[in-house]
Amino acid sequence: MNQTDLEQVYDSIAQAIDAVGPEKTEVFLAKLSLSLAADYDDLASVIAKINQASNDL
Amino acid sequence: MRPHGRDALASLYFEYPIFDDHALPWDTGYSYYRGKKILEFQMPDSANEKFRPMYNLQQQYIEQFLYQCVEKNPFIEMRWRSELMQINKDTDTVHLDIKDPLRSYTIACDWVVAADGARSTTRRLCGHRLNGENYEGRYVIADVQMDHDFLTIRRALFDPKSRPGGTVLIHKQPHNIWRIDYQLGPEENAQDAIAETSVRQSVAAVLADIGYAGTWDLEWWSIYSANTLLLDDYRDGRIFFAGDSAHNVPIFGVRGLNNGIADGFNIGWKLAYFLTDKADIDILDSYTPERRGATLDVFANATKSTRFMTPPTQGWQVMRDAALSLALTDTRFGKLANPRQMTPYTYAQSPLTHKDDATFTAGPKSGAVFLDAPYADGYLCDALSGSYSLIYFGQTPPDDQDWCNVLKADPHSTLGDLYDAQNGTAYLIRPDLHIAGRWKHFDKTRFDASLAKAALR
Repeated sequence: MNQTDLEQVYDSIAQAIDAVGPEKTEVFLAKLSLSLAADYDDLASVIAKINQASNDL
Repeated sequence: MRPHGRDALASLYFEYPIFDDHALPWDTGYSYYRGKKILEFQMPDSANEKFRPMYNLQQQYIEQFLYQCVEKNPFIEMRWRSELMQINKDTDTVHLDIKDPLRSYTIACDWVVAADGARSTTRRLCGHRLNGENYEGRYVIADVQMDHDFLTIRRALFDPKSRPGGTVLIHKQPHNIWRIDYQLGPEENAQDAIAETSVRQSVAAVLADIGYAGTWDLEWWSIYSANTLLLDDYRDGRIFFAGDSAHNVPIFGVRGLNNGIADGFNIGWKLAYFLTDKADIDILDSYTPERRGATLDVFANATKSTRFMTPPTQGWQVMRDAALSLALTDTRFGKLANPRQMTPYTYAQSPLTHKDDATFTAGPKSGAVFLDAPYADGYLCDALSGSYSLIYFGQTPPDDQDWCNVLKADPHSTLGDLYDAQNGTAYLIRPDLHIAGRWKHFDKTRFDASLAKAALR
């Protein structure tokens, strides 16, 4: 994905988090992760991304 | 300061050595997240251009240079300690009631340019308001003198030890002054935050973050929040608003001073051309669309930067934190922290701009700011000053006109290459260094004053 599209994704998720509100944010982000992962063929890469996201929090 | 601002000052006859003795050029930025570098960016630069992409220079030097310029000019009189008390407008005159420590008097003005700052008295007396948005994020801005050995670059510290959750910006200024901007948390009270002891503690913590252990002096500090505010119209009859009196822009786009200079440059030459009968009065109508358009363009870019620097809502905050955290291990996300590298606004829609000649494959387009290049023994920017210029590529240029200087150029040169020129190509450059029009095959029989105004063609 190019930088402009990545920025578009960034903006859209930020606006969606505000739209769903703080109580639903966690479920919203989990749904988003799961549905993005479902379009991914490679399990090992998904697991690596889960680990990457868990680090540096 | 950005190059177009620097070119603007240069064309106002500043002596280069004075500027160059002080101003610090730079082109690089580092961004850090929790102490680790996540992004290095480089601004475009080229040996073909006289000036570097950015210069750091304290406001008082700009003021000093402007004053020196005013002092040398027999047509300008400086009146210190004068207060504007009242404005009375009639059809062809603006009457300004002025009060100074010795007297009160009225000046009758044909034209007024109100460059009287963010709290403009002129704006208030005319009954106008700035419209737009205030952002929540507040920053304390402090100047520190210290012998800190580091590059002249822009450093942005996200979530550093000194300001957990906040952002810090560090710039080197001339004479060992370091400008530190640090964000206040939502729980911090502004009044307490700008108490000297509090500023000293905060600065000391930032210096610990960047590993500076030497002595330092606190020179000056203040507080600000990001605004995107502007007037609906930069003109009220015979009064023009310029700089902060017309617009407040967030600092993150590095556009405050530069935009003010561009406003002054714009209305300055237009008034001069009208008052010396080189242009019709309606040239003045182009001021608001050109300069207000430029402000809106800054807002569009600065809004993105501001959302990253001071996230306004939970959504922007969560995404910002996520991007920074991912950036520690993946550079694609660090680029999201890149401050927008804006190019100066293009006056493509202005009535003074000719339709761009689509046969060009390179070079600055109609309405864009000119591109500097080597010319004669120096640079093109040295040859452009005070009036319209026609750069004619070829051996038989047309003659100068009272409204326009003609510069002969070689199509087979660096300038010719950068401007995609061949024999007979011409670029018409406005006094404020924007391209008014360009023609691959210029028709010399049409070289007259009407060319200065595309709308009359």
